[in-house]
Amino acid sequence: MRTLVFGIVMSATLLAAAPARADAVDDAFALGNAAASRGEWGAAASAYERAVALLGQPSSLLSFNLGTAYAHTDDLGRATLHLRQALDFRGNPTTEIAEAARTNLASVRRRAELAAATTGALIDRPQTWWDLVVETLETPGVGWFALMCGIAAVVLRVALRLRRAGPSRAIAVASWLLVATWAVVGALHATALRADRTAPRAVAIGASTDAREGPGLHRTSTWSLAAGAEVRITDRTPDRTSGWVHVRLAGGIEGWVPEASVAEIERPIGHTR
Amino acid sequence: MLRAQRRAFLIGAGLLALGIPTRARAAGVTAQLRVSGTELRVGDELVLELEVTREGGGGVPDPELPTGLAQGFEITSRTSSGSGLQFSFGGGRSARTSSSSMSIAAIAIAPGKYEVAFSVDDAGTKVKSNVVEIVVEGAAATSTDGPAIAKTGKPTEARGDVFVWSATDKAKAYVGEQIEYRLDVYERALLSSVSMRTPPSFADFYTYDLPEGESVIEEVAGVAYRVRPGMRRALFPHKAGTLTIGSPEITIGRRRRDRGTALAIEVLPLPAEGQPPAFSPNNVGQFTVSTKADRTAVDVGQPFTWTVEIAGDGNVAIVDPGPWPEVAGVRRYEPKVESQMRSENRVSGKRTYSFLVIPETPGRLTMPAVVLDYFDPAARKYAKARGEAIELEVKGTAIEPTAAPADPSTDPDLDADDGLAPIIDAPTLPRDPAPTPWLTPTRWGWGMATLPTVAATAWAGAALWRKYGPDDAARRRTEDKRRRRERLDTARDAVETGEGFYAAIATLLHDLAVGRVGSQGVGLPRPQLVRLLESCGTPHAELRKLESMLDRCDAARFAAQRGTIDERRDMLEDALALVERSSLSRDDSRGAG
Repeated sequence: MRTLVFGIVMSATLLAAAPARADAVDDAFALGNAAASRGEWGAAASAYERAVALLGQPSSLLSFNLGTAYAHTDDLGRATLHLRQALDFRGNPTTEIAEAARTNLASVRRRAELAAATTGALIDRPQTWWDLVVETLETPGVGWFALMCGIAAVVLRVALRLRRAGPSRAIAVASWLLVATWAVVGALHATALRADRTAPRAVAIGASTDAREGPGLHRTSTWSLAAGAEVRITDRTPDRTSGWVHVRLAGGIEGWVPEASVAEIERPIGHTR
Repeated sequence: MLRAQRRAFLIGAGLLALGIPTRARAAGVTAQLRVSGTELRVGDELVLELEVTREGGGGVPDPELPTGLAQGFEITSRTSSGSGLQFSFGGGRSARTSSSSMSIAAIAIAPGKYEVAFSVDDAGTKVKSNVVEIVVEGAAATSTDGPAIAKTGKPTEARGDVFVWSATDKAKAYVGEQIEYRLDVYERALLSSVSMRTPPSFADFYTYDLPEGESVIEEVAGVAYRVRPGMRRALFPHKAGTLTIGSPEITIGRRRRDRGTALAIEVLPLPAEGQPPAFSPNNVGQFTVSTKADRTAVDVGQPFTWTVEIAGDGNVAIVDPGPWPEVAGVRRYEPKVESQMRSENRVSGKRTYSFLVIPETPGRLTMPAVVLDYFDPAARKYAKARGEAIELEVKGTAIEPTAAPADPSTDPDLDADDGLAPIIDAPTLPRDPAPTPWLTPTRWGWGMATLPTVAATAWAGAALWRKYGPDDAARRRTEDKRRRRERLDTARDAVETGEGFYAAIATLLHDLAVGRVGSQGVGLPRPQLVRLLESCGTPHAELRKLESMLDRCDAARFAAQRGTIDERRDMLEDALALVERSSLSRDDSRGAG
């Protein structure tokens, strides 16, 4: 009996060690905030990066502060990346954080466009209503809608069969409309999900990266990718150690860039350095 | 004994072979000159073989350069052919001969008779070779630039089987005016190894390569030549005066050369009459100016690109657009300049100036027209090219204007932190990530795939049921059984009270009889029904029992004789026996019905 109690106490003690990690995160976060309040944005960014690495889960607040710190240090690529991550629902952004992140993202974007115009590097075009439509298509709500349309169509048809009554024209039209909606919306949602899975979105974090015809520094540079530009990663070199990714800008311009010069937006954060 | 004699013979022969050359050491040196030909034309190659031989021991001296070549030949190469050692036996003596040879290639450059020989120095003694007389015919090759001349058009005089011809499309031009220079090789035979030995010099010109074009056949003074294009250049003279284009020289194989003539171009200064003030002499040609903006409406502080493009025929790459017009209410950065030159028959191109402009005040913004002064050499007068003004709508509120730095990356406004929302200072970092939505892409995919599967399965099941499910007879049998069960249940419930018991039994038995004979029995009176049952092969005992039970039921129903509970139980048992075990419950008469 005594052994059992001892074991339980020891297990509880060992398990209780986990929250100590959270303290380290808070310490790093507080350090970052203190450095930011002194205007030491580089130190703030380092402290926030440490907090990100320790936290191991998305946090909109942390991403926002980190992105803002990078914006102050003129690291437009990383600022764009973290501010975009701050808007990711998985980080649980509050309204305040979302609004502040959008404000800072707009400021960073403006500076990135200016820098791109000066250097001749290419940046993705500003978001349009079509981009919002595409983003909306990825949301689970659209998936639920398609699914419910399909279920309703099946239920309606089965009910009509069971009733053994001749279906009215209105009900027949409604059922076919539901089927059509299920097919169209489902296909769009699937396409959006597939695009996100096969060609994940990423942000250029290197300053004016040369995009080349093929993987390797010996290949011809065809255009330059501006810091903060959003791209899709469409391919990678098979040998991960060689570290080249094939990126596509909105509009279809493509090229190979070093893997370290881009960071996936939905990648587990803390891997940008 | 034989072995000893053979050994003595071999030793003697060896001593003889080694000893004899020693005795030939005193012999002298000879020099021999051979040439590839003695009758040449100017430009032909001459190959000389110089051989020095020494009989006997000692080294072979090196030959000196041949005399007689300096005036009429140009040595192009000199190589050592090799050396050798030779033994000869004959007449009871042996001799050792050492030799060394050298090969010299030279080009005949002047006509005349030349006596060529060489000598060797053998330990202070000059040994001379034989003398070879060589005759060179033809005109002397030009070795230096002659006087520069103005030369345009095509050659009018045939000059042998191959010659070089250079000319310009005009002998007189203005400063900055485009001149076409062409250099062709005229050849009567297809010569594969014509190369440029000395390219022409263009010291006072901007030059651009032009496409050389294809070989053509031309007739010069009645002689057909194949004209091989050697060089096409567009020239733009830097300065006024008589400018010279250096003479080119080509090499035909290893043997021949030909030198073209230097060309003189008279370059005129740009006319003073009508010259706009502060006119740049770079602006010579025919040009157009176009302007555009990448948007028509902008917000205050939002940058847009204003592009000015100068295009046309001439050296667009050095065109000087002059000072750019000032625009109030905007910040304008130094332009990004790009030139694209196009070289076809003439040089043309475009030069693009892209300005980053940031409006600072709302309202109507006019990017002014751009005017370029240029001199048109074809029309021999000054002209103006004009790019139109562009109107833009600027929305928003005014911001305080500042001087625009040349580089936006150094713009303090752009580096300023204003516009950035401050960081959010919280005592702790919230750790409540949003719950993962139940509908993951995988689940959604399964759900979407399940729906058509379910629908298809249901449809297929319905179709199978329609095809292989029960027919009318089976359904009727099922219905009959259900009715019988209901009647039996009713009778069973009425056993205790007797209320409705006999009616239920009577109905059950009647239905049983009708069910046995089928539709023929529907509505028949009992005697006829019994006869019909009998005709169907129903056993007599069962018929009697059926009649008896029906009679008892009638008696109980219509004569108010309900009987006892035991009687009713017996009646129920009998009815059950008929329903379950008698031939009446068979339905083989259905088909007949």
